Order: sequence, then structure tokens, then C-alpha cells
Amino acid sequence: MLVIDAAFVPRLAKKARLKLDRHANKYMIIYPERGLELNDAAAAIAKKCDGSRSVGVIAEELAAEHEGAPRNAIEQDVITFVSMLRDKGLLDLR
Amino acid sequence: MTAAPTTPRPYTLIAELTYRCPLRCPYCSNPIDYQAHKNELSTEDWCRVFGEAEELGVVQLHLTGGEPLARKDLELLAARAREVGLYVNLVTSGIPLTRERLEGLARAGVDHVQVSVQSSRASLADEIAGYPGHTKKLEVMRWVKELDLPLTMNVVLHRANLDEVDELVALAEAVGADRLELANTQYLNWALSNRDVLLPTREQIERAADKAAPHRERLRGKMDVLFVKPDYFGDTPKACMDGWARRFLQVVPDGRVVPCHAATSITSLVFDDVRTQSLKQIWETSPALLAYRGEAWMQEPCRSCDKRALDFGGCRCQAFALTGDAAATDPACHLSSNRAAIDAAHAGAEAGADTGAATGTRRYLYRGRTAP
Repeated sequence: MLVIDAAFVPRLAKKARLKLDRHANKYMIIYPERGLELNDAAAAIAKKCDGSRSVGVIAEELAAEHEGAPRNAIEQDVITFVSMLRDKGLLDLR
Repeated sequence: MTAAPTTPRPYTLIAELTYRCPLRCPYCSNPIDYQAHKNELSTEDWCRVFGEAEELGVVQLHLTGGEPLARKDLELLAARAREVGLYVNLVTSGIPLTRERLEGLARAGVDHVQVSVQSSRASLADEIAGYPGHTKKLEVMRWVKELDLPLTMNVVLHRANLDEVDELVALAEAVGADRLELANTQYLNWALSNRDVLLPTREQIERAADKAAPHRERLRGKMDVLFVKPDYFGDTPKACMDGWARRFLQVVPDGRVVPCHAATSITSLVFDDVRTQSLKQIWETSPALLAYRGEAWMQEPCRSCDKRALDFGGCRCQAFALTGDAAATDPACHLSSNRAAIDAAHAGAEAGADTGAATGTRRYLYRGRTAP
């Protein structure tokens, strides 16, 4: 199984659509016959999973956007979330 | 006194576009009298329904049937659904389909294609489907992946193909499926009529489940392997549709709004029609949808059961089919006073286990052939 670490560059799979659900005003990831409702923290990570930056850079950016937030704890959160995407087959691994 | 349930948000619309289908599968979820319902909704009706569904909160759309490809306006419908923001799942036998039409459907906005496969072996697959389509299905699945669309391979499992789990997983891997649904037959409608020939033995089910589990682990993150155990083999009922008219809504070809594939078999209910009312009005006020939404309808032992919020009392269609009372506890539950109806079917399956696949003595009741 692919290990998600700070150097890994996540990109949402093509089949996964990140969408602002206008009914709940929350982001969701919708994919074949399923949907995943995201809280605000998860949505902030998902928006950055576009293949342009690594887990470490995503954590840097989120820490900068939330002044005073501990970068290392954020990186752990990013790893946890991206690993969940991996397990659900929602990462583009090509 | 139980308070009236608040109207839940539906997430998925199952659009049964037509009952027409070249296949004649003996477990078909279409109604037994499907040929009596030929008055299909128009393109305009469906387009309106998709918009109304999105307004109600729906995000997932299943374009299914029958065979949705039998509708000449399928591209238009997919495009409209995508335009209003729905995730468009095409649930198809792959027949009749050309590569050009699939490309057109992908351009129109189909997000995901689910193709049904009846067996890993062509001869058995064609016998089950009552139509020589297996080879074509393999070609269609290749096209889906060549067009870079996500692919689900769906196999309905029963006595004749349940021993093929390893081969079916291998086939799904070979065609590059993103998901593999190994879905045991639900014994309603055509499947109930064919239950004596379809129902496996308990040993067969356990063996298949044991085979599926390691594949699921091995393929995690690469291919989603789902093995859905049939409710006949458990002690508690399935959480059917996540509750009656709760998360799913379905529109059948003639415009009636139902909570699930089999609901029109409950002849004590009258379902409302999208041609005479809006989807919102039906979802919120249709007596047939309110009949078993929430918990107020429950009888004992469901009413006081601590699992009632988990399984919603099971399947209303099964309760009606096996007891004549759609409000009865699902007979799949060990607490049901009608559990004997399920146990008797098991006894029949155990007794008949030696006939079937090996000897070619299967005798399916096929749905009639209709022009696609």
C-alpha cells in the first residue's frame, strides 16, 4: 500500500468531483454512486489536492492561512485525510 | 404519540427510464407485469424531474431501466442531468452500444458507467441473461476504460455463479474496473419467482464471502470490492434503502414516484405521478411515501426494538411479498413471526443443491422478450 508522507503530491482522481453542496453549504466529494460530506478543515485540504503541491506544502499553506496553528499537527491531519482518500480509491495515482 | 417525521433529504435519484431490455435475467428487479406499463415519460418530463430532484437535494443520479440505452434521448437526458450538477451514473447491460454512442454519452456528461456481467464464463453468462451478450459486454468495458471513465462491474450472485468469486475478481481486474459489486440476489419480483433455482446454500454463501474478503483487502485503494450478503442468510434484516423514502427516490418509466426498485409490487399502495404533481410535492406529501417513512407505522416487534433506527424494520416489499402485510416485520428478522417463510426457502435450497450448474438442469422463468 502506498505510503502517504510529506513528499507525496496528492491529486483527486478524475472520477471524484469536489463540489460545494448548495443545500448544506458544505463541500462534498461525489464519486461513483457515493458521496462524502466534508467538514471545513477537510474541505480546505481537498481543495489543495490538485497535483500541484505536496502534503508538506499543503500543511505549510494551511498553517500560514490559520496563524498560530501548529504546522506539524496540521501535516498529520493532511496525511490522515489523504490516506483516507487513498483507501477509498479517490486519489489519482498515475 | 410520535411526532410526524421531518421530511428527509434525498441524495440519490434512481431514474428507471424504460422497462425495455434485450436481456431477460431471471432476477430482474422490474415488476412482473412490466409490459403493462408502456407509457414512458417524455424527454421534457425527465429533464424537469432532474431539475426538481436537484432542488430537493439530490446529488447522485442513476440512469437505469430496463436498459437505458433503449431510450434514443439518453444523450439529451445525461446532458441535462449534468447541467444541473448531478453526478451521472449510467447503469447498463452494455447492449446495444457502439463505441461512437459511448463517446457521445461521455461527451454529454456521463460520469461513471456500471456494466452488468452475469458470469465469468460466456456460456453460463449468456444462459443466465437469456441473451448472447457476454462477449459484447467485455468489449464495452474495454471502451469505458479507453475513454477514461470510471467503471463498475456489477454481478448479481446466485446459486449458478456464486462459486466464481475468484474468476469474477480476475475478470474485473483484467478489464480495469474501479469497482466490483458482487451483489447477492434480493428475492423480490422476478427473483422471487425464480427463488427455487437461484437461492444458494448457506455453505456456498459463506465460501464466497470468505473468498471475497482477501481480494477486498488486496485491492483496497485500487478497486473497491463490495460483497453484499443476502438478507436471507442473516438474523437481522437489511437496512433496506437506508429507510423507506429517506435517502433514495426513484421514478419508474411511467412517472410514478417510488422509494425503491420493487415498491410497485406492494399493491396496497398508490404511487403518485410526476406528470400531475411536482417531485417536491410528491416527496413531501405522497401517502405512499409517507406510509413507511419514519417509525410511526411500525408494529411489534419493530416498534420497541432497539435496532429499529439501524435497520428501519427491514424491507417493506419483502414483508408484503411473504406475509401480505407491508407493515409487518421483515421475515428476514429472527424476531419475525413469519421467519418460517425464509427458513422453508433455505430448506428447499439445501435439498436442491445437487441440481443446477453441473447438470444443466436449471429452469429459469425468463421475462419475455421485448423489442429494444
